[in-house]
Amino acid sequence: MVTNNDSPQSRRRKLLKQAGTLFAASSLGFPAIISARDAKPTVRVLGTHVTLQEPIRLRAEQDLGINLEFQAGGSAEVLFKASMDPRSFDLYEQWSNSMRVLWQSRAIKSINPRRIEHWDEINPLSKTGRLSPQDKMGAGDAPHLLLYVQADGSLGSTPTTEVSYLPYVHNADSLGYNPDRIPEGEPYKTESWGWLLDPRHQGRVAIVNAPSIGVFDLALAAQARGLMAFDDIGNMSRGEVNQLFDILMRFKADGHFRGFWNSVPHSAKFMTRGDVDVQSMFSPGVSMVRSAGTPCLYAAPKEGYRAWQGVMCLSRETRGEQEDAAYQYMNWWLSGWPGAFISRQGYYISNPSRSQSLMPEDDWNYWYQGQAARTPLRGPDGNVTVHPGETRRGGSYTQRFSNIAVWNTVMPTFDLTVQRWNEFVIA
Amino acid sequence: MNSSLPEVGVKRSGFLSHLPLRIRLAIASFTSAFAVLTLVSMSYVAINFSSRQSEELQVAGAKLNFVSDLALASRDLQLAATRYVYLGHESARAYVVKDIDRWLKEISKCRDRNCLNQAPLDDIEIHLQAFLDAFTLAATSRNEIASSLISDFADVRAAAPPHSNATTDNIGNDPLARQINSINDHISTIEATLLAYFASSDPQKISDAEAHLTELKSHLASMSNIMGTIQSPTNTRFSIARVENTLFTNIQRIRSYAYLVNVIVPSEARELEYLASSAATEVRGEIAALQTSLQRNRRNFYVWEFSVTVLILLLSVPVFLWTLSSVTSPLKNLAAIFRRLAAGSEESVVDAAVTKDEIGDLFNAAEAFRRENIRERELLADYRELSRTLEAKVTQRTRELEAKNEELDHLASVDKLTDTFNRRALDKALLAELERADRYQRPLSILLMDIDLFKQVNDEYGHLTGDKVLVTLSQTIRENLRASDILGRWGGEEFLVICPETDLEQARNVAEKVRQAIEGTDFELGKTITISIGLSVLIEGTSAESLVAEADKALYQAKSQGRNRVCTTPIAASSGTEKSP
Repeated sequence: MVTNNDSPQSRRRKLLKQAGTLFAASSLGFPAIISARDAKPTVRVLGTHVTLQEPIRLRAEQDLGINLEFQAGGSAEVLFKASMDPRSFDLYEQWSNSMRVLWQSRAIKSINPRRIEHWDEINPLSKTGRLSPQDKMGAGDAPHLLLYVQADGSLGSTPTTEVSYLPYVHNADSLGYNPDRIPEGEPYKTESWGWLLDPRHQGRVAIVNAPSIGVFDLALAAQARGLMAFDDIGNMSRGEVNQLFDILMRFKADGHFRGFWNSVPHSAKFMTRGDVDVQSMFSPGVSMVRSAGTPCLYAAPKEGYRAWQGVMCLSRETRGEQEDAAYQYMNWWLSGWPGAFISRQGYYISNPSRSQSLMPEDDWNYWYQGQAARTPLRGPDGNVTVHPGETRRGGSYTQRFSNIAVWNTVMPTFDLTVQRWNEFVIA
Repeated sequence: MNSSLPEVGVKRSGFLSHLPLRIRLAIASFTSAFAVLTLVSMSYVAINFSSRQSEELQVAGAKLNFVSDLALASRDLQLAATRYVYLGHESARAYVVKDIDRWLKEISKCRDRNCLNQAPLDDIEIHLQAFLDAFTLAATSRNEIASSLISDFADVRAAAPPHSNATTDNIGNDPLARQINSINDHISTIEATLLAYFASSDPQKISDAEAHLTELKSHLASMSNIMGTIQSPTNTRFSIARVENTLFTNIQRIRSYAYLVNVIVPSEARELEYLASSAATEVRGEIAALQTSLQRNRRNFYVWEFSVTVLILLLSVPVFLWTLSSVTSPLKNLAAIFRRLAAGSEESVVDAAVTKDEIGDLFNAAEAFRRENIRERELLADYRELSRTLEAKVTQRTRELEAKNEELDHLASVDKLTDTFNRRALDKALLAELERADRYQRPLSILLMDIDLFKQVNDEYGHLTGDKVLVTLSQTIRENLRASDILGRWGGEEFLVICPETDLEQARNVAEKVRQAIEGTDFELGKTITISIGLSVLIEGTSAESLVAEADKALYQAKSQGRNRVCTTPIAASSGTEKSP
């Protein structure tokens, strides 16, 4: 249930506000507005807070003339909802590591790429697993391995006329650290996942509370520190999983971990409150920490990044007008504005060139080109998160994506991982 | 003023000395009141502070209880959640929901009471709510998953070829029936395996279920072979894909659920526990800090109270001393001045009056008194001087009057030209001598002298020369008389000499001596001046007139006898004979 959620109070306030608006509208005798709203198709999007943001919803409604209903939740929660009841949503937004579960649960159906206007503009990352053929292939489920629906109904990398998801946002994650507490490292040289298991940071380490994500952070850390080696870190054997967790349990027993975060704000709070010096992080979390005034560097680990591909999936139950509107929304995501918007939280879009023209040159140069910012750059919330002279750690889009160690993956040993993770968290 | 007086001490007080005494006394009173007030206030503040800190300690104690209870509660919640997830105890679910609700209320109350810092309270509330959300979702899911699993498999079973009711022995002879029974058994086993997975989250169960599915597939394949010859009504509704779909859908649902209950719920509980424990640690730190600060404040208070007391004493004692000395020293000064003034000093009092207050006023009054005193003293001196002058003047006047009287006496009894007794004085003297001679039976003679032929002198030489002759003659006569003899101008050119205690003989000698002296005196006239002398001697019972008459008779006799001679009357001669030896 990794989310970017607000506090429960603000969530409750929002609900109350919405309810209040509706109530006020009906009580003032304008049922026409409500029915007018009902006249337009409503697309229900189930997903996490990292993309289900109000500015995006408003902009899309305005651009498309449809109603959008965002159901944002934690990743476990949305995954559960999707697998329980495909009728409760039209589109599902999450990360590629949820694909196997979703697909296996038969909650989603294939997408027709011909109905995606800019399909051809989607870069090779999601189609071939790397931006350029020279790049090293990241371990685990690279996005292309899950993209195409094969003749036998399984997902594979061989191109077909049906795809399981629409590739859109993606990023390369790593660990964030406070340079006031940990001497600043050199990107790709000294910065390492190993810091997560460095006894010097005992008690001041946090991990993302998601087995299909956090396990790689910890596996990369264990490998970097030479505590164990994996044959294939993207497809761990049961023995490897058990060995890894045995190691982790020793660290846990020594009080090595401050905690496990379930949401981006939670991760930011760990840092801003000063509880944590180094932890698994998502790009928006880093922005939040920095805009709160706490220094935070988003490391470029020498072992490579843990990458993820954002996936947009179509519910098995969505049909007709609803389906058309859902395609409209998918197309909208690749139309430029959303990619420009989401770049400000450090995310990349699959067809960047369309967003480039909508981004200030300085933003483009900083986020995509890895060049130093000349002006202060603002995050999606309007706060300055990048100061002039700063350079995106890890360099350009291509440089960062040429250094992928592993993709977020639901491995065959996922269920064992969940079981061991439970022990890991509770212990 | 005397320099030994403590005027310097008074002057040092500067402008304050110019304040009226009542103001200074007021300052002194206010100072003491202030000092007392300060000490009382300090004590009050200290007691107040101390009690406030005690209250803070109490509040912190309550905080500690609150967060410690919460830490314990989060463990209990975790345990109850686990109990519900793995044992399905409904009581555990009810406990979790109720307890979280209770804690959310507690937190809301705590927020109103401000019983914990806002930030940890927010965090705790967020995670309490997140735990509740996750648990509620898990609880809902649990029921949904179980019921949909059962109904899904019920559907599958309904679609599956009906289980043969034949006995095992019979089936042994019917391969289709055996296959159908195996299929049904496998479906049931798969269902049971999934339920076991659901209950235990044991991933092994997934593999088991998948293995059963493979076996099911082989049975289905065998059945298809057999069904190639025997028609079956069920194969249209029943397929391996259906079982597969049901299996994987449910596996994913259980997976999601397992994720929720194994990863999310415990992590929220752990985070809650951590937050509560770390809040407790923080509160413990606060309490320790409070206790330290309480002790430090108490110590500081003692130091402060002592210091302030000393300071107030140091400040107020000089004020009192100054006030006292500003009163007493000018008074002493003034007393000394009065004593000296009484002793006659005329020093200025105003110079000693250094203040302009009531005491200064006293000095001014003293100064007025001094000036008045001096003025009176001067007045007295003036009177004395005046009276001395008057006395001297009176004496002088008296002396002058006496002189005047003497002069007047003299003038009355002296002949102005010859400076001898005039006739009146001669008369008086003659009477007095006569009386004395009578009383004491003593002899007395008189000589009456007249210048011979004096008319001729006047006529010949003038009256001025005549006067000179008279003067020289009177002088010569006096020179030849005895001290007791009294000479006077009897009138014109006649002189009378009264000779007390003188008998005839003695008188004759005197007369003769005078006559001879005159005869021998050069009157610068070129000729000799002589005198004729009539001598008479007192006889018992003779009056003055008769005595003078006798002398005049004798003078006449001398004149008549030829002038320049001494004659004696018969009476005198007889008596004189008788008496003289």
